[in-house]
Amino acid sequence: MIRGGWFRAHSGMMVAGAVAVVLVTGLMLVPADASQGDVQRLMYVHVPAAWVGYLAFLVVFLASVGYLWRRTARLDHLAAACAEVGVLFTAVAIASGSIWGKATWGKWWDWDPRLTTTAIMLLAYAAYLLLRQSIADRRRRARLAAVFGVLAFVNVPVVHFSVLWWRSLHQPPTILRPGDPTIDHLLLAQLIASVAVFSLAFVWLVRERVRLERIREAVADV
Amino acid sequence: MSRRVSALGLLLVGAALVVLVGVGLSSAVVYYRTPSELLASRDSTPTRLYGLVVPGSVHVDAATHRLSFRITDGTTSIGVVSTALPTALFRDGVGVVLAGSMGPGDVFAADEVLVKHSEVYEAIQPGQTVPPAVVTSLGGGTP
Repeated sequence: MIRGGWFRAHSGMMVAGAVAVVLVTGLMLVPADASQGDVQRLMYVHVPAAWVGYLAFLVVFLASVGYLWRRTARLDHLAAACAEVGVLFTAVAIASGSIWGKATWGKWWDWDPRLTTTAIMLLAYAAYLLLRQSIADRRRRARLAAVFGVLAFVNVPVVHFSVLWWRSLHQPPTILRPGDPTIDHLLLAQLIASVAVFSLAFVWLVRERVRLERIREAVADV
Repeated sequence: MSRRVSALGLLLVGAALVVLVGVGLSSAVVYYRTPSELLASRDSTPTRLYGLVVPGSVHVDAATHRLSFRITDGTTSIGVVSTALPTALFRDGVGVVLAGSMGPGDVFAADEVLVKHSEVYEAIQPGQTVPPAVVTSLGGGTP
């Protein structure tokens, strides 16, 4: 009865287990940073959360372009699911970054280019979700959301490059930068593991959310 | 086909927006200024100032509860007095973003000292500890 068998039935537990493992290794086992101390461990939550935000909004963009091209409902569901998950993870990135900022910079929030563009990004996708809520007609909702989903993505590369283009409080990238990553191998391995596991959680959440949406529409059609 | 054209049109509009936002922000918004820029402008309105803490320049005046130090951008340095206590990352040579304004005698009066941290991360070695804060209170002296 269960398609995909045991793995599919237990996929949620496995993803949750993987998240727990990288959190334990990152927050307890890997050495701390030599100058910042333990607070730097927030990196293993902050960076992967921000990465999943970018990734989710990229998929919103691609699915939206795809929807405008092909008009298939599945792509609309995919875009909506990714926007929800992206907003969630971006909020986690902002919250963890805020705590990290208070401990190192001395302030929870400041209007530097990275923080400001990230706030704009969060608001843009919150607006995307509100727009979806406000339109009852399925095809009209999908069409307008797709247009919004394409336009909102404009800001996403700006968020990433803001720390390279403009003067900011936030430091420039450690890994996604020209040249070699500026981080010890062990810390880098932990960061890559965290990013991989958060990405896995993203895929799982989106898949479940798309499935739920399909079921909801099927029920509504009865 | 018209759908493809409209999708392409959206992409073009999006690309144009990126350029506009980029050009607009970079010229209109400057998060902080450097000591050279600030001294050249003779501006005493509230602003943000960025520089590296000049080694050996950090002092705490316990009587007035004020922290003083100099910051430099490599060519120009400015004296700073602050009533705000920075975080433990504050030390010689670190980059700081100050909020405040230029006061008399070309001394910058900061009411906020934010400590930038670098994008470089190094694992702490066994037995090694995080360097202690240089300034732990504005009521006491510097160690």
